[in-house]
Amino acid sequence: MLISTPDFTPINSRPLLTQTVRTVRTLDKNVFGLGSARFPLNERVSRLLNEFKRLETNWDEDGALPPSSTVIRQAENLVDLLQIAGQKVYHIAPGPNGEIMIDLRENGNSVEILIYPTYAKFVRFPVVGSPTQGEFDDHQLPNILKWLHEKTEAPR
Amino acid sequence: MKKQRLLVEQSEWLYRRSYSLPLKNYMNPDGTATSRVFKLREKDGGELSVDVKSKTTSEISIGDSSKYMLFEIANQDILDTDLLTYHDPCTLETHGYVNVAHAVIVGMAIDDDMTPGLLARRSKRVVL
Repeated sequence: MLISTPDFTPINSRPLLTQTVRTVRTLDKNVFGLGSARFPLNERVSRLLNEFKRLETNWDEDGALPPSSTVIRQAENLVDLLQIAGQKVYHIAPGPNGEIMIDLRENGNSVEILIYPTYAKFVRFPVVGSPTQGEFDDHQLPNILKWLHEKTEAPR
Repeated sequence: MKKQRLLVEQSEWLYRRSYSLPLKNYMNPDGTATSRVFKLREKDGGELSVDVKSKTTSEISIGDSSKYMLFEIANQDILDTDLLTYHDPCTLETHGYVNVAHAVIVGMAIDDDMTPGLLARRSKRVVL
């Protein structure tokens, strides 16, 4: 499947999404049983991202910083890639420190990808056990999605 | 001199308020809290504000329900996450207003994104 390379801005001088674009191109979507058709899985999330562009400093009346245009663009690019991979975004929310949180959930597992103004990270919340976190860059997305779709039996 | 504070009892429940405008951004589609509800910010000085449920009411804790949402979490969940909750009543002298129920959760770092997510997943929305 051929897709155009999204415009991106490096986070922390590292290209966040370049490799991701390439790896998503090669993702075997059949692993997830989702097929390759492009459909508006994440329309609500795209709409929210557009709304975030209107947030101003102190948008929560408690000093919250608005996400910068760079952070929003990074989040848009990531949502586009997830759309292409057939991955529904559960929710997306701005944080108090100018970050955007992208929450993915499947089979009781959940992953939050946090895009801050100067870096990005992911946190995995498994059905069973403690969360783990790491720096997010383009290389992790296929593995993150694979982990997300793993089926773990929940404790009775 | 550092002020002495008392630990909140293990059996207590805590209220955490979050902003709900303009789009209920801090709320998940199922009405639960996002991790951002429990995320520290610089001005918090490492202490996350909550109210002790037994010392207030949900109506008082939420204040303006057209602007805020309220979530509750067991203090046991805070302790299980290796954090501590201290009573920290607000007085007219120190804060300019009175809130005897005010408490703070300490032990979280500002760059910690695991704990806010855990607390959010263990909290429940209080519907008024």
